[in-house]
Amino acid sequence: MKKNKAMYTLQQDVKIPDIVETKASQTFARIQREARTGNEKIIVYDKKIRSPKKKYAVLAMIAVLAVGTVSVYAAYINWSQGLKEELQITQEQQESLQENGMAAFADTSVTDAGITVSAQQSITDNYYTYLSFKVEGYHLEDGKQPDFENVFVTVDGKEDFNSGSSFYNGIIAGNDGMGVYADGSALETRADGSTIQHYVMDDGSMEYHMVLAKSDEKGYFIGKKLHVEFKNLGTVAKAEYFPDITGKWDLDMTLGGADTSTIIQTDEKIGDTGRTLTSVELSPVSIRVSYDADQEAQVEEVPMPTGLVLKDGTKLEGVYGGPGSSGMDGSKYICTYAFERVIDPDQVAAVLIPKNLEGSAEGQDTDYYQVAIQ
Amino acid sequence: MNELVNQAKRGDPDAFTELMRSQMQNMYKAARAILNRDEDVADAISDTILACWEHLGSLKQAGYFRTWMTRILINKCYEQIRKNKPVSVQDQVPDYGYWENKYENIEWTQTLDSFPQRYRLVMILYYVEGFKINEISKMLDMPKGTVKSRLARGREYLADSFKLCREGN
Repeated sequence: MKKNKAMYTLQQDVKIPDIVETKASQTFARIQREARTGNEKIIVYDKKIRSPKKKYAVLAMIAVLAVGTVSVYAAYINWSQGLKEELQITQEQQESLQENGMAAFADTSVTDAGITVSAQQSITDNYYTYLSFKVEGYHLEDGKQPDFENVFVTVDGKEDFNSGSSFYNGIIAGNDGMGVYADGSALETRADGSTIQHYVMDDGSMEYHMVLAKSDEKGYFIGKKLHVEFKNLGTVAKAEYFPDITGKWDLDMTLGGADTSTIIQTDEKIGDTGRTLTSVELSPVSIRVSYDADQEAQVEEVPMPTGLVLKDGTKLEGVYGGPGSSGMDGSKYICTYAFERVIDPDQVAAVLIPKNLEGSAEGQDTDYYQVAIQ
Repeated sequence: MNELVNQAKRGDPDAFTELMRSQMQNMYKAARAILNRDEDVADAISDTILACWEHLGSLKQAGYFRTWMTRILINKCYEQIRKNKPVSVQDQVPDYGYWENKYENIEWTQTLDSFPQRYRLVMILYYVEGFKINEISKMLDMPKGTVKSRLARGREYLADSFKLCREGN
């Protein structure tokens, strides 16, 4: 198609699909309704960021909240079961993350409408922070997907980072990058073809996990104050949020974190691509790689490493957990992303870079460049 | 728009509704550049509307409203991807290969979908919504060089497609 016609087409107004318009209209109607009835839970303006009322030393956190009953305890070490499973953290890795300061723990909770939300812990490196919150008291029907209606996060009062969050569903990445249950068993499906997900833990609670990302400012999250607001709890299906519990749970915590990354300078050519891997920055939870590119290759994007090879020969093909970012920065091409599991940086022997930028065809093994780094 | 933003900040739901409705085209196009299904786009936009309503008070300057709102929208889109992810992803923004078979907007949708996924959002933000490179860089947590190179690649991709079209004819 003509270049100009394509741009012209993209710039034209489109018909907003009915499903989008309907859901937006419902949201506006709700805002109008609640604003006019003066519901304090919706309207909060000129809200000042609250400072923690109390501070606890050592490994964490805490401070307090807005609505409902508040319980504040001295912090103690309490690993999130869901985070241990999702990031496949071994006992040894737990101890290491505690020792090096990346893992920080909280034990503050808020109860509203019979639901208790507790801040559990964070794992923080130079570019990412993983967060875990325990949710107790909610009865989730079988086959339903839980969700908060709204989640708002600031770090030191600012929102200039990227984020992703959801309830932990008991599914983790296998070594081949495909999903399996936390006990390693294959995923099961219902009669309708949907995957069976396990949101409710053995103790009846659920966990809500977040990843915050800021790859253009090293150390952004370390030691910073986090403020999280959860609002209303229900279930989601397709385009609909189904409200169930009306409540608000606000929590403040101070992130831990440490610069524990290992930076490996290397000069490894990537096959015949004309690109050279120049450095790999590895932390237990993320990777940042830098490439040189010759003049011709500079405008081409380089596929990011999606896997690792360990010194014992283990191949981890799908370690990308996200969020991630990549692209040219001066004469270098930089890729940064969070892992889907915790790794031991000193056990990494090589990175795996897919040969095909678009990925492999369905059902076919991925062909990689294996680039040794240590 | 600044006056609408300021009225909305003062808690006027009508001003807020008018403000967000004026952004529906921008929100839809940006969300659609990330998400392939209108169901997911609907969720992301609805979540964005709520988040904007609740936290508009934290916006310091009305002039930054669009950048602020778009950043929230992008994060909500990524949340949708994360919620829907049953297996690992191979790219930053996975392509599920599920395409809605609707006739409305078909030319627009086909034009957008003709770009590789990784160029779509920057192309929409720059050429359609008119954001500057440094604004896009901040919104996407992406180096400015990357934004520029993706725009360049997107333009080259268009030029190559046009060349192929002409050769095919």
